[in-house]
Amino acid sequence: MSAAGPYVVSIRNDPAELETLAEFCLRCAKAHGVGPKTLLELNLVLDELCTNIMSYAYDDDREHWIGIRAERRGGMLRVEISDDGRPFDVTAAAAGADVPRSLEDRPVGGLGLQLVRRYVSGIEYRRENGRNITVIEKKIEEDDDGNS
Amino acid sequence: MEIHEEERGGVLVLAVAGRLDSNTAPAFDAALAARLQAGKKALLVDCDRLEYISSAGLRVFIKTVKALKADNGVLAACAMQDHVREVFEISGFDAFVPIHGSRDEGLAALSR
Repeated sequence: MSAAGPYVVSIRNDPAELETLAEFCLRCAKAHGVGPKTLLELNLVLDELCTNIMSYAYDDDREHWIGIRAERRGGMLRVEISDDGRPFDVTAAAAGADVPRSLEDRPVGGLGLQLVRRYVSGIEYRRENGRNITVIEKKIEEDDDGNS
Repeated sequence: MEIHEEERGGVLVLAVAGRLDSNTAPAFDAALAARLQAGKKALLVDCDRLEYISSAGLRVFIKTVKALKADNGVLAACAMQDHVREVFEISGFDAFVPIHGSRDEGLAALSR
């Protein structure tokens, strides 16, 4: 099977860029034959990871760029997110994100990672040349709502 | 993200349309806070046209539920699309926010 892509986009550390991210997800979905449910889940995963980076990764108020690169490998969509923020191993943090019991016990940031963990097939992290590289793998459901 | 509101028998219905993410959640938060400030005690968030929600949107719900609870108020949601409902359920938020199938069911529950 030939692998389509990769598709790449860069977004600034500004929540308004989530619109750019949503458009990117839509383009990827169309190019890779991803169904509507998988598209929503993919968008949510990338949104949560990028929002985390925008919220917590930077110690200054300067502009930073987050790189996103998606490619299809067989039945999987593999998406790499890279940022120049402080070192943050999302795999360690996501592993500890369980469903909290009460309103009060809910840690900020943990909620998003809980959703990430639920919707990915795999997640990897490495630090490389001063950047965080987070890679998620998501199984592609091509006709997941029966109405594609 | 857009919000349309209407008063129905003592219940304030807020119909939210579009996407609730960390970009749009602050506006949703401000809208809800203003309604609470105005003394509204029964809120029904109609999610029929809500296409997408992230944890940033969920957090606005929880914050509002907490504020209302402290003031003997109540918040419910209704008419969620499957994906949005699933995000609520995975997060365990359906334990704090009653989710009704339709606006009428939500209104009936809140009017009791």
